[in-house]
Amino acid sequence: MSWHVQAPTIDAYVSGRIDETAAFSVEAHVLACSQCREALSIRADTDRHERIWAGVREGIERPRERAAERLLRAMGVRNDLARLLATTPMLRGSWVVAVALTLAFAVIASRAAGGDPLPFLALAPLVPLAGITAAFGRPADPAWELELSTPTGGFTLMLIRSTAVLAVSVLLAGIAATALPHAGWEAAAWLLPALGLTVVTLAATSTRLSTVTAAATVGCGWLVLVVVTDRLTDRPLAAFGPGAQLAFAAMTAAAAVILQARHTAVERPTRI
Amino acid sequence: MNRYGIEMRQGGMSGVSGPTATDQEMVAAVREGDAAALRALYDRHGTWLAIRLARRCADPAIVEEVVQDTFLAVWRGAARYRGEGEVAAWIWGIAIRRLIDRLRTRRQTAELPERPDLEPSAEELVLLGIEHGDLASAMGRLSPELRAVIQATALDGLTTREAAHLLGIPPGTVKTRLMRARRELREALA
Repeated sequence: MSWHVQAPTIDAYVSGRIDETAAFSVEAHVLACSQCREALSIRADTDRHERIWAGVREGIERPRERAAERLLRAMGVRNDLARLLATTPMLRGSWVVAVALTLAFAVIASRAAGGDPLPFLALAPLVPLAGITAAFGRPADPAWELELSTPTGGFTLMLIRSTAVLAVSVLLAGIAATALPHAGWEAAAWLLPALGLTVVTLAATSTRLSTVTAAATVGCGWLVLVVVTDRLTDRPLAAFGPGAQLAFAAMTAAAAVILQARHTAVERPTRI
Repeated sequence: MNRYGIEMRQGGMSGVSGPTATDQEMVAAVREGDAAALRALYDRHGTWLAIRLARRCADPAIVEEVVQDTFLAVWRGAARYRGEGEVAAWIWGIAIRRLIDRLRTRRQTAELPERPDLEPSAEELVLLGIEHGDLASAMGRLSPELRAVIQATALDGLTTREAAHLLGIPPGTVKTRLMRARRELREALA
């Protein structure tokens, strides 16, 4: 470019003592001319330049918040809680996708079994269990040891994350349940078992059992119970009837009491 | 592309933060996570940006925040630069919108439905100038209010609504002032 802003004009522009039409010219030209930009840059206030850069560098070094974290914050969740939830290992996309696929297969199995909801009902309560295994264990969480040493580590963290897992699991299973063939009361019959198994697993974790062992034991026990009751009784869905639901409610309450009583035990590192 | 490679070898500079690298190359390096390239980009563009923003916002603290926000946005959004056109214009586009965002939270400007057909394009103004010559003196005779809307729309590349937020006036007023400014310019240049 052959035309450049004259030095006095640049000085006037930098100081702000310039008429607007001339300023228009400078600005339109500067956008396209690196030489004139440089002429402006050498008139910079160095302290201010470095001060602004310090802010930029700080922003670069600060970890970027995940989309989930921003969403939670927009919904009014406290900052620290939002970060805790967003970094929960099993709430990452891959886990949610795996759960959605599992539930989809369970619905397909139920449809293939002539509309018998048993496959779905047996599987849905295991979903939060699998999530919790990942929620609070060394294998899944790279910050596991760090979390044990933090003020909100251990019990509180486990409860927060388990609640999040349960909420997401129930939401996904609830959506999947609407796709069941004849969705009557059976479509919701997995809810109490899901809650019960979750709390029992958490209570079992507060003993010397590791999360994985506890979840696997509770999960296997659940499957055995479902299969055995199905074989032994003539009534369909015996493990989900009114009596069974009451039993699950009682079991949940009992496990919750144990969990509360023993929560200090969880604060110690568990064997994985 | 080849030419730049040769230049860099001849200059013996360490990568894209050297003085011979083009803005486009620096943005490409920033996209790869090169903080030194961002610093070099900031050294080239931070100053004029701050001066230009200061002409549109009297509060130096806000100007500093906007420059900061802008280069953070460059760092995070370098992938969105399409690789063509002036990097300076791209940066300015980010900065002026960040400034408007800042001002928007401060003073609530009433939003009115807009009719986009009233805005003169920058090309239109340039054509006016080329055809009729003395644009500068014609602009000089405009009232400051009218010049401000010409600046916001034609020079800064803002929409009516964005200009309204920047100037703190209703979009309807921006439109009437634009029409008046165009009429006055036409008459002065005829």
